[in-house]
Amino acid sequence: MAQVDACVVRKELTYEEKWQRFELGERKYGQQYSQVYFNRLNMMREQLKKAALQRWSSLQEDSIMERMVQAKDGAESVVVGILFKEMKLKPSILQEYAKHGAAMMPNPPRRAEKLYADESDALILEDETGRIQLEFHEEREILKDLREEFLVSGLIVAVKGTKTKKGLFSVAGVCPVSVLPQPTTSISEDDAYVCIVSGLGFGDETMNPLYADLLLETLKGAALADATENFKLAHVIVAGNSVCRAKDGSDKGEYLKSHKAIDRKAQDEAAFPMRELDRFLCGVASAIPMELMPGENDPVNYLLPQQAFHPCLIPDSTKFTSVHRSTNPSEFSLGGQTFLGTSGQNVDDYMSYLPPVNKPAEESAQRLDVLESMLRFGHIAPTAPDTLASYPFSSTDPFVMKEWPNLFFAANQPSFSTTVVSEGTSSVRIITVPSFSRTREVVFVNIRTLEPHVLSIEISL
Amino acid sequence: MARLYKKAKYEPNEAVEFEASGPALEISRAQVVDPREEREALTFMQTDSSSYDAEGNVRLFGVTEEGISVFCRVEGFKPYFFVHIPPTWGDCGKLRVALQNVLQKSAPRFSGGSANLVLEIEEVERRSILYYVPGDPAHKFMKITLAEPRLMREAGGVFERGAIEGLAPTTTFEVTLDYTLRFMCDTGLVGCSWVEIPAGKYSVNRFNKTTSSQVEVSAHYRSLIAHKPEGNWLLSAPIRRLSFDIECSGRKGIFPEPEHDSVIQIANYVTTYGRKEHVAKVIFTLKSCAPISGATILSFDSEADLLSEWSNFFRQCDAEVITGYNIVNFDLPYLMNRAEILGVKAFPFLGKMLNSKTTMRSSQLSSSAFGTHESKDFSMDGRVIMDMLQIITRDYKLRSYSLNSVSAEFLSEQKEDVHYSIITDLQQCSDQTRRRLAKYCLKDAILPSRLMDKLLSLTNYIEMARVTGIPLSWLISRGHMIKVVSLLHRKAYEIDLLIPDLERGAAGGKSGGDGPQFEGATVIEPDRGYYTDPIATLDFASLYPSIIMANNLCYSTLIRKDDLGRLKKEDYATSPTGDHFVRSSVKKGVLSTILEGLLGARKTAKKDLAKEQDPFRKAVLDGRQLALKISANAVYGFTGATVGKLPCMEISSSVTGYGRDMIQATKAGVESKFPGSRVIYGDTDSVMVKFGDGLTLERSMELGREAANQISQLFPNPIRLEFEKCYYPYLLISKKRYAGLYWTKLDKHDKMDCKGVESVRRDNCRLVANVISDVLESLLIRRDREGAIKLVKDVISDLLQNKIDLSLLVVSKALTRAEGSYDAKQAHVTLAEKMKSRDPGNAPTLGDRVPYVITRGTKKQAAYDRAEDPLYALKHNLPLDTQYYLENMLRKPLERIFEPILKSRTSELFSGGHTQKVSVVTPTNGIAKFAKKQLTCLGCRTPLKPGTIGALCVHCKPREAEFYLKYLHECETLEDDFAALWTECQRCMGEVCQDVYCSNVDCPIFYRRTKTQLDLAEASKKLLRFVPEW
Repeated sequence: MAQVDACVVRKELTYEEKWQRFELGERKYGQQYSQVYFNRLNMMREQLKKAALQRWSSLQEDSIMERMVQAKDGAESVVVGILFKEMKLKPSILQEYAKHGAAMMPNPPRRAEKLYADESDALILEDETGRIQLEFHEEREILKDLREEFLVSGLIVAVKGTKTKKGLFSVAGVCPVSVLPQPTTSISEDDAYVCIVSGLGFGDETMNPLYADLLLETLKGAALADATENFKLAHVIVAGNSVCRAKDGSDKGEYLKSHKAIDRKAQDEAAFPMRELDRFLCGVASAIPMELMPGENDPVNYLLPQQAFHPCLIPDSTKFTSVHRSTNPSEFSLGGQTFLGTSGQNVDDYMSYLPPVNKPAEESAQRLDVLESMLRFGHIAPTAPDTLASYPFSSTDPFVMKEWPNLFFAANQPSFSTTVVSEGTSSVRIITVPSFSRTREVVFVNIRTLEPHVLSIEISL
Repeated sequence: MARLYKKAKYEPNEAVEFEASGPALEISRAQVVDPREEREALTFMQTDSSSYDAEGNVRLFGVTEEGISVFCRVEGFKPYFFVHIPPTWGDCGKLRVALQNVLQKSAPRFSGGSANLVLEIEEVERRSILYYVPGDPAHKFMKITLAEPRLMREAGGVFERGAIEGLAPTTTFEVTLDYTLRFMCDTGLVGCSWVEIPAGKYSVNRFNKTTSSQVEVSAHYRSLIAHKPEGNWLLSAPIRRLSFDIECSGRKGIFPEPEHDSVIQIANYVTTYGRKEHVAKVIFTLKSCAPISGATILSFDSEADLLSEWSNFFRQCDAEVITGYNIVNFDLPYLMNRAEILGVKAFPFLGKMLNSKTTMRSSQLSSSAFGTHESKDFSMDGRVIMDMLQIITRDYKLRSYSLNSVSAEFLSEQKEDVHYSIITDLQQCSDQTRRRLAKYCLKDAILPSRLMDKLLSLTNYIEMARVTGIPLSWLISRGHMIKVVSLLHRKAYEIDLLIPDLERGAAGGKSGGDGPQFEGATVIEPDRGYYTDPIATLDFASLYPSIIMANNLCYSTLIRKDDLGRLKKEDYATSPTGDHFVRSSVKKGVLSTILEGLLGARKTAKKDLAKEQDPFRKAVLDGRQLALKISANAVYGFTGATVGKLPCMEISSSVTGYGRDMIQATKAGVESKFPGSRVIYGDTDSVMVKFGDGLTLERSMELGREAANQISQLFPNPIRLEFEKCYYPYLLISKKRYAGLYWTKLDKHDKMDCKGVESVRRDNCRLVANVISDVLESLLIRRDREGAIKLVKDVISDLLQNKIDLSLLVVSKALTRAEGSYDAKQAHVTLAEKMKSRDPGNAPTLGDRVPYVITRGTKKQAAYDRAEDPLYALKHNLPLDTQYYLENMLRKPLERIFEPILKSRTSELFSGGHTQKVSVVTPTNGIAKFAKKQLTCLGCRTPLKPGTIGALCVHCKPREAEFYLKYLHECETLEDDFAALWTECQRCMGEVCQDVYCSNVDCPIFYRRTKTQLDLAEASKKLLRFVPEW
C-alpha cells in the first residue's frame, strides 16, 4: 500500500490553436453591419444550393434561383437568403428614447433579458436583391425536422415555395446547410480528460471563496483519493465570466461621470477580482495546461468576438506558457478532437427568440436544440449583429462554420446537458456547460470518447 | 408585354393615343352592373358636389355601398336671390322685363340674343336676418330666379348699382351664396351624406360617358331623397383613396426644378377607406427597376410615356380622395409643369370629368384660425385632394412638419430619409439602386395614407362636412367661415329669414378696422407662484356658445338704437358693451337655435358614443362630436370676423364682455361664499381657486364641485360652471403659462399638464424642451425642488463639459428665401453659404431645413457666423459654444420656471461650482492640423518620452491594470451603443444587406450614431496603446 507509484505522469495532449479567425487586428468602426450579412450570405450560398438539391431530390437545378429577384409569381422556386425576424419586442434603443421621453441619452436596452417572441412576429427572407415575407401553411411538416420558432434572424437558408400575388412567399419547405464536413485526425487512444469550467465569478460577494479553492485543489489532483485517475486530466478550459463585475446598466449619466478621474481606491477595487483570478489561474497552470476564454462579464471588449484577456490584467498567470489566452468564441484541437465553443451569449440571445418554457428540464432541452440548430444552420451566432452585439466585420463573417467540430459547447448555462448530433458520417458532441458560480458544477470530458460527466463541488460546513 | 389595364375610354379634345404596357394590374373597383332604373333605387354617398355645368346642373359624385363610383347630373335646379323693392315699383312682370333688358345689355356674353335670362320673379313675404324691428313685421321681397348660376352676380349688381331706371340702389339678399350650397340647403343635402334616387326617377347614361365614374345617371333635383347621416346612414361608403409620391432627379446642389429635372419615379398606394388591406402598390419608374415584393413596377424608357401612363392609371384608379405629403405644393404642380414642358397632352385631365382639363392656380387662403398660406388650387372635379401636410399643419402644433418627424410623432416610427442629392446617383446606377429608391418612394406614398388612418382625418373631415353641411373639398380649400355660412343659411331657409349681401367691411354698425380688437380675454391677473396645495379649476362649459344662447345674442335679435324707444324695458337686455338684444321670449335668435342644435346633437353623439361597441362607428361618432364642438365655437368667430360674410361686432364684443363679467362674478362669488378661498388666476373660460391652506385633494375636489354648483346658479341657463380637475401641485408662471399635475380622481393623477411652457418653437434646440420637462417632472411629480435644482446644475455642468448629445443641441431653420433677401444676417443662411463654398453638391438649397450648431469660433465672430453643420462639427471635433447655449437658449426659460420658486435667487442656477469646469475639445482642422502630436501617458497625461512602448509612463506603469480597465470601460460602453444604434438603423431601413444611408436629422440617433463611430474608433485606438509586453 505504501508503495509510491512514481509513474503517475500527467497526460499530455496535442494542442492546436484554431481561433485566429476570431482575432481582430486594428479595429475600425466606420463601416456598417450590412457587410456582415452580405458576407455571410455569400460565404454560404453555394453550400445551401447543394443542400437544397440534396434535400429536395425531385428538384430541377434551374428552379434554384441565383437571386431572389428571379423568382416568378406562381412558379415554384428555391431561393437562398438570410432570414430576418421582425419582432416588435426586440430591444430597441429608439424605443428607449420614446419610453424615457425627455431623457437626455438613453442607454441601449439590456439584451437577452427578455423574450422577444410575439404573435405579430413576421419572418422575412432577404438577399442582395430584395426581401420577401414568408408565409407558412398550417401543416408544419413542410419544415420537416425544423421547428418554425427556431428560424431566427440571421440564419442562411434555402426556401422552397411560391411567390404569391399578394407579394408573399408561400413556403413549401425550408432547408438548412444540414451537415458540414468534419476533419479526420488521429484521436488519442488513451483516456484523458478535459475539464470545462465557466462562470468562476471572482469578485462575486455572494460566493464563498472556498469553492474556488476546492475546485483548484480538485483540478490539481490533491483533493481526490484516486490520484491515478485524476492525473488523466490533461487540459482545463475556463470558459468565460471568470470575474464578476457589476455592469453599470444605470443611466448614461453614470457613464459620463466615469470620465472623471477615478479615485485610486475605486480603481483598486475594480482590479481586485482580477488579482484573485490571476492567483487561481497560476494555481491551475502550474499543473495543467489551460485555455482562458473571456465571457460577457469579463474585462475585455463587449462586441463578439471577444478578444483575449489583456496580459496586464493577469500578469502572473500570463507568464506560464501553459496558459492559452483565447477569444470567445474559441476553437482549438485537443488530442485530435476539435473543440468549438462560446461563453454562452450566442445561446442566450437565441433563446430570447423562442417561446418561453416553464420547467428547467425543458429549458435544458431547448438550449441543446439551439446548439443543434446552430450546427445544422452552420452558424455559431446567427442573431449577431441584429440582437447580439458583434463587431462590424467588413470582409468576412467568422461565425460561419466551415466544418463541424467534434465537440460544440456553450458555457455559462443554467445547467449541464448533453447530446450527440449525427448526420451521415459526421457526429458532434454537444454540451451546455453550467455556470460554476450558480451550480458549483464543472464538466469533465473524456477526450477519446467525448463522453462528458459532471463533477459537483460540495462543501459541508 | 401584357397590357397595363383597361385602356382609358376617353378621348380628350385633342386626339391622343394611349400606349399601354407593363404587367397586368388589378385596380378595378367592384364589378359594375348598371342599375335597372325602372325597378331599383340608386343609393350612394356623395363625396363631392362642389361643381356644376354651364346650365347649372349640379354634379354629384359618389360611391355606393358596394364601392361603385357614381356620377349624377342633377337637373332642374335654378339659382335665385331676393331684393327688397319699394311697394311703389309695381308688379313682377314689369321688373322681369326691366331686368332682362339690363342684363342683355350689360352682359351680352350671356345672351345668345334673345335667351330667357330671367326665368321668374315672384313676390314673397320674408324677414331680413339683420336687426329686430319692433313688432317683427314681414316685408315684401322679390324672389328672382335666373336661368344660369353665372348670371347671379351680374343680376345682383344691377340692383346694387341701381341700374334699373326708377329703382334706387338696394341691398340684395343671398346673391353671394354659392350655387351648390344653395342647392344643398334647399334639398337638405349635407356634405358626404347618402342620397337615394327612387326607381323610375333617374336615367342611366350608358353611352358617351362624360366622367370616369362607373355609373352615370341624371335625375331631377326634386327626386333626390337626402338621408340624414344617422342610423344606417351613419357609416361611410368604401371611398377609394390614392396616395402618391414622386421622385425627381436633381442636378448637384440644386433643388429639382420642373424646367430641367425629370420625374423619375411615382409611387402610388391605393386603398379603400374603411378596409384594412390595400388595393394596390404601383410604382412608375424611369428606366428598369428590380422587383419589390408586393408592389407592381412599371418601367418606362421615356419620361413622357411615364407621365402619360401615370395619368392614365390615375384616371383608371378613379379615386375619390387623393392624398400624399405636400402634393399640393410640390408633387402635383411638378407633374403638371413637367407634363406641359414635355408636351404630354393627355396628362392634365385628372378630374372625374373626362373632358375638363385640370388647371392649376396659385391661391392664398387667409383664415384667422389657419393663418395665411400660399397654396395651389387644382380643378379636379369629383376628387378631393387631402394633402396630409396641409391637414397636419392645420390641426396640430408640432416642432417640425417634415414627414420624418410627423411619422415619429404619430406613428412612433422613424423613417429613412434619402437626401435628394443622392437620388440622381441612385437613379443612374443600376436597377438595384433604383429599386432602393422605389422602396423609399413607396414608403413616402404609404405613410400619408397611414397617417390619415391613424389621425382619423378622413373620418373627422367627413363628419365635419356632415355637421356643417358643406362639401368635403371646401373644408380643405376654405376657412372656418363657410361652415357657419352654411349653418346660417340652412337655418334661415327653414324659418324664412333672408341673409343680406353685405359689402365687405360695411357690416353692422360700428365695425371697421382690421379685425376684432377686443380687450384681452384674460381677466384675473395671475398670482404667480409654486402652489403645493390643490388648486381647483372651475371651467365654463362651451363658454361662448352658451353666452350666445343664454343672452339670445343674434343678428335677428339685435336692436337698432333708434328702435329702442319703441320697446318695453323688460323685452330686451343690454350687454356689458352697451348693445341691446331682445329676449328670447319675444323672438328667439337664429344663432341660439343653431347652437342649441349643434350642442344637442353633440350630447346625443356623446351618448351614442358611450354605448357604441363597433370601433368604426365609434370613430365616426367621436369625429362627429368633435366636429359639432368645433362648429359651435366657430359661430362666435364668424360674428367677429370683419372681413367675413356677415360680421357683427355688437354680437362678438358682447360675447367677450359677458365672458369677462362672468369670470369676475365667479371670483367674487367664490371668495364670498367660501371664506379663506382665493382665486389665483382666471383665464378665458376657467378660474383657478385655492380653497385654503393645507386642504386635502379630496376636500378641494368636494369644494370645487360645490362651488361649481353654487356659482352656476348666478348665471342664466345654459351657462354652467363645471368642476373638472385639481392642479396639485401647480406652478403658475405667468399669463397663459403654467404647469401642474392634473387630477380628476383621487388615486392617481391623470397627466402633467403644461401650457405655454414647453416650447414647440423650432428655433430651439431639443435640450431646452428636455430640460424643462425633466425639471417639471421633478417639481410636480416628485415634488423635489432640490432635485430639480440639482438636475439643472447637472445639465449645465454636463453642457459646459461637452457631455451633451449633439442631437440635443441642433437647431434647425428652413431656408425660405434666397440669401440677400433676409434683412439681418442669420445663422442658417450664413451656414448655407459656407457649405456651398465647401461642397456645392451637398449644400442646402432653398426650401431645405438647415440644421446647425453654434461653435466657438474666434472671439470676434458673431453668433450667426459661428453656426456650423453638425456633422461637420462632429467630424472635425469643432468645440461648441456651450456658453452661448447656456446664456441664449437655456437661461430664459429656466429662469421663468424657477422664478416662482427661487424668487430672486435664480441666478444661483447659472453660477457656482458646477459652472467652473469647462472642457473644450481640440479641433482637428485649422491650425491644430499642423500641431505635432506627442503621445501622453494615459494615466497622468505627461508627455511620453519618444520610444516609450505602451500607454503609460514609468510612474503609472505599476497601475497598468487599473488604467486599462478604465479605458476598457469607456470602450465597452461605446461598443454597446454602436451595436444598438447601427442595428436599429439597419432594421428601420428594412434591409440588412445594404448600407444605411439615411439622413433623417430629426431622428434622435442620427448624430449619435456618427459620434459613436468616431468616439469608438478613438477609444479603441487608446486601448490598443496598452501593448502587451509578452
